[in-house]
Amino acid sequence: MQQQSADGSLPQAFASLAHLTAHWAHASEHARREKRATSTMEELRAYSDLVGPLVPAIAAYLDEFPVSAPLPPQESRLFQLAQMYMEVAWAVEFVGEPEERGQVPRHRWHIHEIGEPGR
Amino acid sequence: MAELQATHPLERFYTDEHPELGTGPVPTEPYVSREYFEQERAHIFRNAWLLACHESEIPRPGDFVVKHAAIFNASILIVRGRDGVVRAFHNVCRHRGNKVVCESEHGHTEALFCKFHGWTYALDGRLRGVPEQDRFRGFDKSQHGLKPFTMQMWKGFVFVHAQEHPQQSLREYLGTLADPLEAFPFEQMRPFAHYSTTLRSNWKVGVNAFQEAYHVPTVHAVSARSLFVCRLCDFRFHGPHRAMTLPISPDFKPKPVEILSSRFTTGMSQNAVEMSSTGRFPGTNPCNTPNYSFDINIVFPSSFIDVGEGYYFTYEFWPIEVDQVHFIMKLYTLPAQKWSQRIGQELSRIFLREGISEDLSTLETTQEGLQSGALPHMVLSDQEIAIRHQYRVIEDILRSVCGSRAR
Repeated sequence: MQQQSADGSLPQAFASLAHLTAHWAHASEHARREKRATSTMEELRAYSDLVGPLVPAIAAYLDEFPVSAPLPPQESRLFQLAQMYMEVAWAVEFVGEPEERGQVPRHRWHIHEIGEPGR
Repeated sequence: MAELQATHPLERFYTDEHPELGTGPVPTEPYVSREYFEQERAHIFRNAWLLACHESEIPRPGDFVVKHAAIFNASILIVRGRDGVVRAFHNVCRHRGNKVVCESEHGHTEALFCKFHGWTYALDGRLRGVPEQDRFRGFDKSQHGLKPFTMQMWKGFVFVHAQEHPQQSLREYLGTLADPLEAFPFEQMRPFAHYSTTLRSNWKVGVNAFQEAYHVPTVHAVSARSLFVCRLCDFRFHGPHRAMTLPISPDFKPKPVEILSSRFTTGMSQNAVEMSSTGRFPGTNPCNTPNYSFDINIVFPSSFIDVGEGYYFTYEFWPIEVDQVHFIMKLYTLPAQKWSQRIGQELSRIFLREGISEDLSTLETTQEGLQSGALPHMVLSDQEIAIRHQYRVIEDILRSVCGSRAR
């Protein structure tokens, strides 16, 4: 299982995003989909506006760590925020709503979790 | 024929090239008739090799997958032994028939343990422990290992078969469909996404949703309207199997997140940004289709192995009833070499997860419409020739064993 330190802190260079981790950093794909689908568009756009511009810097920072081992707790949370950005972008850039209408209802569309590299 | 060959693959009329498949309407009875479904169970599914998993899903000794194959009333346990060999068994305790693995569809175990009376099996199926064994008179433990389920592997894919002694080996069964795929580096890819759902539709309604692109502008208006054209190209029929290629639309307008993701990784939509598909990735694009995106490969009757540049994905349709099907979708990618690549890949799985959910959105409403009986026949465009081929193949098999079937 993913380690979670209680403070929700992030690496220093990304400390400005630390207030997001409590609600937006999730280890499982299921939890990220739920968060996206149950948020308002206002919340999703705010997240996208805040995190999106930093994704290239997050990616460059995390590339200093080997993929052969699990990330330390702070870096793991940062990675999860970047994953969540992709999930949020689905709503913001593709659908225009938190969830697309007419799809298979998400409680019937089961996600089987796949581990991250190094685990 | 020379004239046909010269025509762009998007403009060809494939029914002209396959006159044996006809152009008339196709009966809907095969989608709604319980009797027809029972014939399919007996003569199609019990004689077919069905995709169960790829060995990359169970890399370590003790990793296992359980398949619930309602179509032949079987629960199948696929497990990697301590010797590294992948085996398949009936998931049935040799004592009084309880399922050995009940809780999960995949996992890891040191030994196989039946919760009813505590019989224990080694990972290679041998019966290892029987509590109070001396109370069984004349009992020979070596004769009560887990019963093997017929399985064979090709390129790491595990296929299962309901017969103890199938008439064809898996590779013979796959035939020429598999030839171009021999070069694809399946062994380099790793599982990256896995989804499933059970839907109230005939299994063929499900397969049909993934063997034409006519629906792209409507069903995929959100996910991929500008990414793909609404025509599949270069339909290939390999005996009962089918293959076809989907090109990228030259008018693709990527979203900002697709452009961002394409900086980090390859993938279905990422490869379309700046048209970076080469069309030359090993094992892909056998017809040199221009603006290549990915190939659809349908192993008859209901397994898909779709390949693109740097990834592949599978669908399994497991029929439960004439109007019920279990659907499993898995995506495999080249493993990320850097965390940035892993961030980019996250979009790949969201894009496929949501796009496939769009595809599945029409299955239950289509089934309801067909079951109303309003349409004895359906009309099919040239682009829906794969549905025609599927009908013809099943009809020919059933006619050869049961006489005339659907009207």
